[in-house]
Amino acid sequence: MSDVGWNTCYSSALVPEHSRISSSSTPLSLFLPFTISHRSLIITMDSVQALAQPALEFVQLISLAPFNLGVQITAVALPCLLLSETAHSTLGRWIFKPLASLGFIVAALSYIPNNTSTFVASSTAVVTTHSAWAEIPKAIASTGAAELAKAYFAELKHVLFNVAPTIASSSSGAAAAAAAAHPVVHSTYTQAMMVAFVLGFLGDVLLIPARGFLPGLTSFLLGHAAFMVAFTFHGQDTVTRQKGLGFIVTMAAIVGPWLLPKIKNKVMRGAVRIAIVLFQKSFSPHNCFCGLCMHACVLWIGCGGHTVTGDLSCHLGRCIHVGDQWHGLDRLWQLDLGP
Amino acid sequence: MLVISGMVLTAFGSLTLDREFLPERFVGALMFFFSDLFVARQEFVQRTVLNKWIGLPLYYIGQLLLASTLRSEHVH
Repeated sequence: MSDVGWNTCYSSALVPEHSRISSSSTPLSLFLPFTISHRSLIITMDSVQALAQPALEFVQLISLAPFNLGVQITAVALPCLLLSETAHSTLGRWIFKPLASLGFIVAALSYIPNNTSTFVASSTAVVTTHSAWAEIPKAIASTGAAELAKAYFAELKHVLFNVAPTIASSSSGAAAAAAAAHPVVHSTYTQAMMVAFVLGFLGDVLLIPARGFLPGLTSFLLGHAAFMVAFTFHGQDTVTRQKGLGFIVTMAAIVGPWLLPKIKNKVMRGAVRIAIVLFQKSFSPHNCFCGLCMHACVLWIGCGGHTVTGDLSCHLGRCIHVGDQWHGLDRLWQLDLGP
Repeated sequence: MLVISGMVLTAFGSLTLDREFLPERFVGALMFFFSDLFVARQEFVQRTVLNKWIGLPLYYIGQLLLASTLRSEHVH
């Protein structure tokens, strides 16, 4: 809806007819509070809309539709995982965390455009892919729950066993031979993204038990690095990347002081302080992009070296700080991280 | 955080070079970033289940948004 249309609609809907007429034909004091409050509200809403409009225009381009199989899996598993976390249910974590993580792998595979000349077109996707949540009850009503479940299983099988191997084969050393056998070759972006998703999945699963801390950490870090590789291969624009650097520096400047007082460990506090000084020294127009980036990263290492280990160990449920004892960090960083 | 910062940087960098403009990559990376902040909050500021109720959806929705960028990748 356009600005004019929205304002007209909003004004006529919220300001009653009698109040707009009465402000000129009746004693003002009788309706003044009412009129002012609505006018204020309208002005406020207009301001909010004006401020939010660019963000709304940006976000409206985002689409998770059609709600593919993976999105649906995560949509179901995530609330269950949250409930499991709330209830501190280990069994719930073991069931729903891998499931929720599987969802984004399946989603990614489902989003990859299939070339029907080389892929077996999925006949079940018609049933399992929806463009709105409201379509799911309709699908159940039309096909029956058992048939729908069978279709979901078939689609999952198709995605995992037909679509996924094409990515693995084209990213292997025998890429040329695979490409000859299958004319479909996925881009480096697709391959790197899929590697990142798989590593994210492995990281999520490995971090559930305590002994999976280091493998989980490694998997997560490699996954994040794979995302970086994918984005870099996709192409980089220097101007927007510098805006990103501005965002990171701003966030570091906000998060650093917020987090610093909370970090009890002296080594980490010292690292953060040094990083902040480096950051302040580097924040001048004479410094090149790389130097600023490096120092911003140093700051993040200071803030996040501790955070990220906490993140990756505690991420999605596994806490390394049990009672008054740290587990894993001391072995990883060779530090005394006692309370 | 070094890696997640690099990830956000490269996500910013890839924003305007899209063959088909997709904000999902950028928003997904940001969601990743903010989910990490909630983990930090859980670790260092306040242990509350609210961090998980905000952080986990940010993480998973971020992943799904990033996954959705694959639809723009054409099969050659």
